[in-house]
Amino acid sequence: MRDAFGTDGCVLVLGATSDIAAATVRELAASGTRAMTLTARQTADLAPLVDELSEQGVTCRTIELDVAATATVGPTLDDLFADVDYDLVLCAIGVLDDDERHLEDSDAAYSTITGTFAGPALAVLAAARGLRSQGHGTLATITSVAAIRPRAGVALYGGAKAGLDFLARGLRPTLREHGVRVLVIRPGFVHTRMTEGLSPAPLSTDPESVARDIVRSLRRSRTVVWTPRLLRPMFAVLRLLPSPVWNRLAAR
Amino acid sequence: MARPSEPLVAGWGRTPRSRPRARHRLEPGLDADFTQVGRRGLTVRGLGRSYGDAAQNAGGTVLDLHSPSDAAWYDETNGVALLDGGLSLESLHAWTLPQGWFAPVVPGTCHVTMGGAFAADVHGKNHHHDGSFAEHVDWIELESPVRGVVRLNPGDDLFWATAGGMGLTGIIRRLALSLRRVETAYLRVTTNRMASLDEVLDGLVAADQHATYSVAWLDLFGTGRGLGRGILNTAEHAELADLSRRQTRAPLDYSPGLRLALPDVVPSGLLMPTMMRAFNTLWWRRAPHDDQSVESATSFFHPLDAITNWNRLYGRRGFLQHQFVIPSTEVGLLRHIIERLANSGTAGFLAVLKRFGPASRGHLSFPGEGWTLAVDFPAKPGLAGLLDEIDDLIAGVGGRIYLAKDSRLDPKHVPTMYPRLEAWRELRRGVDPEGLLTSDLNRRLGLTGPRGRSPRIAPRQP
Repeated sequence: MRDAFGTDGCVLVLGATSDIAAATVRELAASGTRAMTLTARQTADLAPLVDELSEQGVTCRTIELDVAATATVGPTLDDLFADVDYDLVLCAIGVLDDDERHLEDSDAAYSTITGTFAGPALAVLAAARGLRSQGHGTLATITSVAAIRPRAGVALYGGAKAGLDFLARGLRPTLREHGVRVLVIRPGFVHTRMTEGLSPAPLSTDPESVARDIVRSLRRSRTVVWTPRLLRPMFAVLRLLPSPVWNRLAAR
Repeated sequence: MARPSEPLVAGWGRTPRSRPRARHRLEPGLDADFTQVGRRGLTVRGLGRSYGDAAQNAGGTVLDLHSPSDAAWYDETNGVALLDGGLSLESLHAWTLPQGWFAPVVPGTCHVTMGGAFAADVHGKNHHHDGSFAEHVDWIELESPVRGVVRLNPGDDLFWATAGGMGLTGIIRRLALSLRRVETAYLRVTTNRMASLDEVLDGLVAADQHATYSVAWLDLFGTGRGLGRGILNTAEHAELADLSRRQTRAPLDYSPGLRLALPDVVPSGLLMPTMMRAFNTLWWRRAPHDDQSVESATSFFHPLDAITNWNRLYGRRGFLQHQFVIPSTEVGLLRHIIERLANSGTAGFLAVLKRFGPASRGHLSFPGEGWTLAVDFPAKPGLAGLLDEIDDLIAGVGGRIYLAKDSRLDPKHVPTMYPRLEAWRELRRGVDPEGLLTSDLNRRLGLTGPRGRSPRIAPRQP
């Protein structure tokens, strides 16, 4: 249960090997979270993070979850919720690939669809089900600014993230009635392993700053977090640009 | 799943509220229907004066027990009253005080139910003298999922698992309470302003011997030698001879006094440190050095009840109370904690120091021989580290935190602070093996133990 200071005592992080997720987990530990369940495709990859958290007195549990195996997603999350209450579920699952490959290789396109939309969407739905029956908690989903306006080169990734963004926001009114809060996180260009080798967009940021923004917004009544924050007014304008201008701006 | 959602339920501190799936009233005399309780369990709620999350149940059922129900004499000559669990202390006094009977233990508010008072094993300013609430209860009628309604007396282990058991062993339907004979509804109060913490501590120790009621208010904003200065109050029930002529006309008159209501529009930042400092200084200065007065029971025991919703003073962000007890011998630690609080810059608005007598037999009962300090704080995240640090120190000397006030304790401390937790769990399992009785407090602190099945779950194959 959340305590009087709004600290989430028990947290579930889906896709905890991502750089943003790992940074957020560290930030949560520093803010007073005492128990965490972390999922990854291979739990062995979480070992260093778990060691670090255990040293800080956080009780960790790791679970193998590959959302590409879509049939496992629901049951795995249902089992987790049968054991404990989660004050926060953070979905940080997603894969980034290049449209050039998607155009040539439909298997690659399919993995982007399952890895960034279908899989995470099933996880978000399962988490929503668990949180709804608990009657409390926050469902936080990491989407992207790429979900706001289509852009050459990351069209499929952006489309998948847009789907996830839509799903999360669409669940909000229903979950709210059950005491559950929905938070959508839209990071801009973040320097991580996922974006390695790509040329950074303006206002690029690092996982630690994103993590700070996420944890800070948990204690506030935000519904959408843009990180860095300046992206919000920026996109308010960019959204209105005529397509030819936007496409020229967005082209690298 | 279309259904109207229940409003949020909060504790007195108004910190994290939660939404139950269903909330209804349990009428006196009707059995509770445990078969209707879903997977998220049931929480019994009285008047909601627990500061934290003891009487809320996210996603589950909240059962309201408070009712203006009747009370009756069980043994009138000896002052034993038969009371419904949902009866408030205020209603009790409105009925018994004109007949010359007073509750044996009176907490800081009259808005508590008898069931709540027993479930938290509440204490009053006379704990050093008379012990806690449960020690004045002849028997209770407890309704649990397995045993239905059973009568328990202090010879039963379950009686003591229920005293301080925070409502997790069953619903306290009725109890028999031994009242105290009084000549008047007034108290003879001695007020002493003291310039240093040492004086306050000495005064409280001395009061153990000579006073029925004793309590000290501390100014945590004092500095230097004035650190921990305070006002010591001791009191006795007044006799007829003590009263003024006006008071003598109706010596046993019970009057709750004028009640002010506060609207829910106070900004969270109203109780700023500067304002709290000014108030505390003023309060200390206006107190007399050594003064005797005759006060009504209401004004002595429940001064804060004069403002109906005083918890709204802290604004929407809410507040919390940190109350601990440490053994009498730990004066050094007590002093250290008070200094730590005073120097932290987050000093609490209201700090109350008292001495407890020996503990009751309640497994999870809070009071125990020693010093108890209760401090109110606005709920600001920056405070978390300081209170955690203090809790570590308290746990180290065998002290504990009051569960009825708690809204932020680290669960790792619970087994240390309440060493009889395992025995309590065992007794609880006997009456509620499925864990139907629960609460947000229970989930946050894991009082009834982990609900988990297997520790590790392999993902299922498609």
